[in-house]
Amino acid sequence: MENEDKDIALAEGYIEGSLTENERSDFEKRLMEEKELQELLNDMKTLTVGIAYAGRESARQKIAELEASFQEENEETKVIPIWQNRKFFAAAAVVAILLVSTFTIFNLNQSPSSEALFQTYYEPYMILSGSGTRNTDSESAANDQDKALIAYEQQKYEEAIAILEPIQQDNEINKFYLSSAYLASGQAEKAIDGFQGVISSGGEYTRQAQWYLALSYVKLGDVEEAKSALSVIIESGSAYSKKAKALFVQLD
Amino acid sequence: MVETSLIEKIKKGGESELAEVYKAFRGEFLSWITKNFKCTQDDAKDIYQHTILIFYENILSGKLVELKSSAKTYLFAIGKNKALELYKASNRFTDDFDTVKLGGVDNSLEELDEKEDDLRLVVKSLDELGEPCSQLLRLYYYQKRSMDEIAAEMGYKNTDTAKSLKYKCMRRLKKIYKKASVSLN
Repeated sequence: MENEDKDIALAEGYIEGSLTENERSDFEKRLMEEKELQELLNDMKTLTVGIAYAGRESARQKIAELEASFQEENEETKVIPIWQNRKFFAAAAVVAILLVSTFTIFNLNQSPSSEALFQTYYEPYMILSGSGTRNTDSESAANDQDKALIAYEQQKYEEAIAILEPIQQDNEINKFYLSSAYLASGQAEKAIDGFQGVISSGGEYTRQAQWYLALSYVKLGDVEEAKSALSVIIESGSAYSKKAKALFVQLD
Repeated sequence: MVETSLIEKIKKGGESELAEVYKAFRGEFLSWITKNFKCTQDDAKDIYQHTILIFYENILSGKLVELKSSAKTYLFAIGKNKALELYKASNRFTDDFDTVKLGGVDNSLEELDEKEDDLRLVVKSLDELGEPCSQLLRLYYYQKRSMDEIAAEMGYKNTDTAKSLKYKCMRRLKKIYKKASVSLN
């Protein structure tokens, strides 16, 4: 026991960098030879970080309690959706949290139809028509994009499509929203072409496009393609992978 | 408020002083952050709590010894960075906004990586370890208090007594942790 405590003290000093030069080189020599000491050092690293982590958790808890003591006060309860903030969220888009809430609506013995699954998992991609990250070659193109995104936001998909079709090659954003508008208006085949284009360009909409591509296949009832698209998402471990897994299972 | 002595008190575990800071700047902070970053009241509260945590930890680690400006300026500067971080994170994984770590509820245990699993196991083991060990270890490893201070605060005869207790506690914690991790694997 006493020896172990000494080694614990040494390992602690080693981690903290508080050993003398001699102590450190002795310790390192022993580390090369003694497997147990290596294990102890590793454990000590995990334990010391873990204790700090526990300390942080309780500090967090205490702060949350402080906040809770304010609960009853006259807070404004009005909630401003964060995506409405054009100034702050000036970049292109914020996705709504896709609600995967309804596993239970399906009878387990009955395989849900593709359309039902589509309706369950599909939520139009929410956008924010800011002006941060666009490639605006010209004012009018920018204005068109603005108009299109506003139309999309108002769920006027046909109008958005009409504006976006001629300018879809300008950038990935146009192409992504055009494809989203196709899907939202039930034109799954066109959506598939578009999302594939977005994915192949490999830009910042890739993950979103992968998910909506999979949903487009579900919409068409093409289970095999849908599953293969979902596998890509699951393997990528992207933010959509949880939903993708859930949908994949239901397609079986 | 004499801010340097306030910091010293918080460093020595002054919870009421921390609460005082929390109360003093909360209202102004929340309205400032919701106005300038147009976020919801709930987001603003998360940001404020996180800001206070950072403020607290900077005091513990000795990064913050004295305030060159006022506590308010300091807190608002942290808050601004937090809000921007939140923005960047929500922009990068736009659909994953609610899992951005803001000290909120952890709803994705299964997604935590292995390392975090290890840490959680340590937290559990620490609970099992009980007092006074748990407190002693937290004081040393989280609150970064010296062994002299710990000995005085916890009423030990001298620093050496506290030190040898610390190693004993560590040995026991390791035992509990090892046992728990073996039974998990």
